[in-house]
Amino acid sequence: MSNQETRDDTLIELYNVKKIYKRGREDVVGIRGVSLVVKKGDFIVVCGPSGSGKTTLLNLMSGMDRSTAGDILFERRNIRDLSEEELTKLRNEKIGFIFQFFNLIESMTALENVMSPLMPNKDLPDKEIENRALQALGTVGMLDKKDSLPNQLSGGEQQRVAIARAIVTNPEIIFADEPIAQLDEENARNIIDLLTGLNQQRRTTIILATASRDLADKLKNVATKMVFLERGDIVEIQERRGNRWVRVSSSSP
Amino acid sequence: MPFFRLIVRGAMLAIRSKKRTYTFLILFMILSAWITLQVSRLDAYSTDNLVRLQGVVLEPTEEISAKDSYSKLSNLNDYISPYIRGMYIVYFYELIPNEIGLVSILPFGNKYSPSDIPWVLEEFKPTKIISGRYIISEKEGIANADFSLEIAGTMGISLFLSGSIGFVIRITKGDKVIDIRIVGFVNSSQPGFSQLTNNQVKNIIYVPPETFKDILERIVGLETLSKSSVIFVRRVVAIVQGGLALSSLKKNLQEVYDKISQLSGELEPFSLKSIEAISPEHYHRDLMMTLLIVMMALFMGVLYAYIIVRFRHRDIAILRAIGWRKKDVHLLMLGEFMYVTVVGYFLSILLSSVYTILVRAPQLTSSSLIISLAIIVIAIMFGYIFISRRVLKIAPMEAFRMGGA
Repeated sequence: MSNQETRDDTLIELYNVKKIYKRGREDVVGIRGVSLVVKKGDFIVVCGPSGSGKTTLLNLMSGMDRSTAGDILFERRNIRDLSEEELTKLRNEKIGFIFQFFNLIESMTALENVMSPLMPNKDLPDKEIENRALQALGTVGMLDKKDSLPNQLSGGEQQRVAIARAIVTNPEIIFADEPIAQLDEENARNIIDLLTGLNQQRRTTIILATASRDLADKLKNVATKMVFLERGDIVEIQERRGNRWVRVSSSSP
Repeated sequence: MPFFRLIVRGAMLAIRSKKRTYTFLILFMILSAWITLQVSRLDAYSTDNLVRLQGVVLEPTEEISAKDSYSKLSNLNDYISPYIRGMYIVYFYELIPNEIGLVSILPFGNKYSPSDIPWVLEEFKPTKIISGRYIISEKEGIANADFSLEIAGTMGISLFLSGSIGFVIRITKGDKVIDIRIVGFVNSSQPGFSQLTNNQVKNIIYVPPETFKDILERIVGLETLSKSSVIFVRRVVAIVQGGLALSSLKKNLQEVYDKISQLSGELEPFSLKSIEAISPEHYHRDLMMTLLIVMMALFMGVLYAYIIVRFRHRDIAILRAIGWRKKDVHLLMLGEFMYVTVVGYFLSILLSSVYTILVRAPQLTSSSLIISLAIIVIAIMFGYIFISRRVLKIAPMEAFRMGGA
């Protein structure tokens, strides 16, 4: 692979990114100088114990939070230089996010929740928005529950609706923050299959955070990169090279 | 397109959040009804008590025709014109000797306010109707409640005819016909009534200016009413300029009184009639009460906005996270606000209408309804802008942390 090809494939770049946030009067370090490259079509598993900074890292990469220091480039554009509205547009058009606690809007039906990312789009008529949402719900096998409110759905069903909401805009990348932590084994398997399918069939980049080392190991057959975090720092990065996993000493671009 | 889409979604969110929405609907309905009634009460000051607060009344001490009074009134009008919003003449015409007189109010000169006309002639103003209603079209009239006609027969026999609401008086001369439907009655024992009849007639019918002119021009055959010698001037009312909340009213009243006293010799037999004045303090007290309620409405708006935004904190964070712009979230919230405001307002109209019927308060006027709606909308907008600006400044993740999601 030539150098030019490598750069064209790059989706997100992190350079020495730090995040410090306030908890009361205390400064809490969420991330301490992380560098990482995400390529288009990657399936990256971010693994680390609770409090290691997984969620913070995903939030920074997805533009939901601003870093304290360092640079994050999304398709070569520094997120720091983007206005709040530009960042919002980026999230809406390029990014899908799956939360640990589903984060569906309780007073919207499953269908309305899935339609929600498209609702502000002035170029799409109502019917088109509904059709796309129905298609996304069909992808996750939830068409028969389209009129249910979130509190009428099981955890697994809610997470499937959340995935449908994440894919309805056909994003470049999906961030999944511990998407199966609240689910039983069967539902967890279904969700992982869905994400794997999206990565392999649509070439959607997936970044999945998990606290479970077992899950991380199971995902090795589909993942392209494993990132291990501890106390806000990357302690190890493994990359797939053909059929082998190679430990890389540094993730710096 | 997204504008209506998002507003409708917002309203749907309100409908689905039943408990909270209904609680606020009830609170809103009560507050809106209170505002509407209070504004209506203030409105009544400027209409119901128009003459007693802003009027200067002149009455002739002896019979004087329109013709004889014309130059006097023109002179008066020229003098006081800068200080008044209108001068009105109450004319009388004896339609059937000893039996029926017609009265009406005609503006004198070009300067007058048409909305003042129903309130200038105190004895026949809308709130003095004891049965029936006020005039809403030209060929209608209001009569004294004990209206009756005596027809003398032979051998000392008399026939008395009386009518009820809706009876029609037909006035004819040759092939010319004018029908007047009596739509309301007023009490003839009220003060000032005998001055209008001058004890010449037993019954009196008040008709709108257009009908009065029509009868006198088409049936009686007069050319110029204001210069006729068979029409009599019963009263002259000048409504002074200046709002009740403004100090200019007092100054203008004084100016008009001064001018009239300067002209007193020329104006004879017209002289000032003392009217039972209402203290502007009453008005100011009610004005203060209205301001207090407006403040309460603003507080309520802020409280409602605070509760909605607090309740929707998590939803706002989710929507921002999935790429809704601030203005998109604003529209959604606006839809929810509008639902409660509009539905609450219409319920409040029902509530306040029932109240006015039960306590016989002044009827709600369209101006009071519009003003109260404006107050409510401003209050809710103020509340929403005040609260939402702070919330939408926060980054989505920060909002998640605050919302506990």
